[in-house]
Amino acid sequence: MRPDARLLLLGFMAIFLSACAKSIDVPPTTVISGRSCAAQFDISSARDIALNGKELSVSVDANSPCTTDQASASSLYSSFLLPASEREYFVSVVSNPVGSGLLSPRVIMLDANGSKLREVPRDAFVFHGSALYLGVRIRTGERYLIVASDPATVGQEISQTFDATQSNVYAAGPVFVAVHSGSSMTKTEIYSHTGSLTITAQPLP
Amino acid sequence: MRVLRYSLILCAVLAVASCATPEIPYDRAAENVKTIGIIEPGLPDGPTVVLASTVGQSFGLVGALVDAGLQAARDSKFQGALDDASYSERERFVASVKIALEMRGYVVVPVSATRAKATAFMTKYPPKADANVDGYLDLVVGNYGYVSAGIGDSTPYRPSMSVRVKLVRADDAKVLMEDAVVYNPVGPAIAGARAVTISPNPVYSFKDFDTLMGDRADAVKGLQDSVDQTAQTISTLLK
Repeated sequence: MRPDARLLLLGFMAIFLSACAKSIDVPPTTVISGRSCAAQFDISSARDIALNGKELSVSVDANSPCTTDQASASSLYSSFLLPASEREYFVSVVSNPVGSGLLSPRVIMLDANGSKLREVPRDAFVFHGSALYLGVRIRTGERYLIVASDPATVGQEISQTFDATQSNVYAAGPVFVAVHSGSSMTKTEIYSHTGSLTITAQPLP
Repeated sequence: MRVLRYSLILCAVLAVASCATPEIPYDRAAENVKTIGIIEPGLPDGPTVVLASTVGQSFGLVGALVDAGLQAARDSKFQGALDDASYSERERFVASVKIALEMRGYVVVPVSATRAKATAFMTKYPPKADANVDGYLDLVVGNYGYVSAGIGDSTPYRPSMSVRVKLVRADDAKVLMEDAVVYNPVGPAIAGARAVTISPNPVYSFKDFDTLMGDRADAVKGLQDSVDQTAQTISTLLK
């Protein structure tokens, strides 16, 4: 068999096998157990966010730092060091679905000493498709941004319907025909302590 | 012209949800906006009842012309149903946004102003002294009506609405918030787009156009629900 034909065959096999592969569902984390959580946020390992519009992807998993509030509710969180800038800017926080789970987020702003300045609650987030989104303007004095899971909503289910269109091209003798069709899907997600975040900082236009 | 209008309708939703609309978040505590003037929104001429994927799309210009004709017929019939029900999308939308913002603690007043284009934000806002407000809420509705992703029972007609929204300071027209809200986004380019999306209410779905027209009361309720949910989401952006 000629090398280019072999390559083509391998390519088709890869596509075929990947199509047959089952996606692994990562279950949501609705209980934080076996952890001793601090009352304060640990900012020593805060990730830098650059003021350049580039996305920073972060996973919040069972090993992420945790905190327990006065009501004994625990959260997993990720901390970020905000860029210092004279120019006004904002940070986008996106919680992306992972399997059937979606980290239910809230945002806490801290000063340079790690003291809490304000909290942006879970219900300020809105949906971008199946992801949760928040844009937050950074105020003077705010130095750290914490994205923490919201214990009050973790475990709740949310169902959304997504309708879409797609085109498939078929060969009909010597010509190719594009066939357009629609589809509908209802996706149910469970709010989780764990998940995937995308953080972006950009100047205000 | 029909082909152009048909294309523009489909593009309205995609354009609103595309990266062309910036998302500028609002900081309520930092701005002293207590009274908001809602400028009369820009709206399209009428509702649209869109079948987003059709057989005609595979047949070039001829197919597009056929689709445009079918689209125009659906739009006209649906407009007739709204007229019979004395339903005004404009009135419902303004009232709903007013209520949603008042529940957030704002004082809201309607503001009359001439909009150069129904499909665009205001180019110039009224002087603050004229309206005595702290900020102007500028709303542009890209489309409203119903949409089906395709032919078949699994893709029913559901309510659809897209809005671009901007809050500007009355003093100097500085943009305090800007975003896009799409109720029931349908199409290939919505995922990851910079728009707030609202999943359609499963209560209001109609398996085909005849069923939609056969249940006009619920068809209107579906529109009203899409307006109310859109208004609530706009108020969340100004929370």
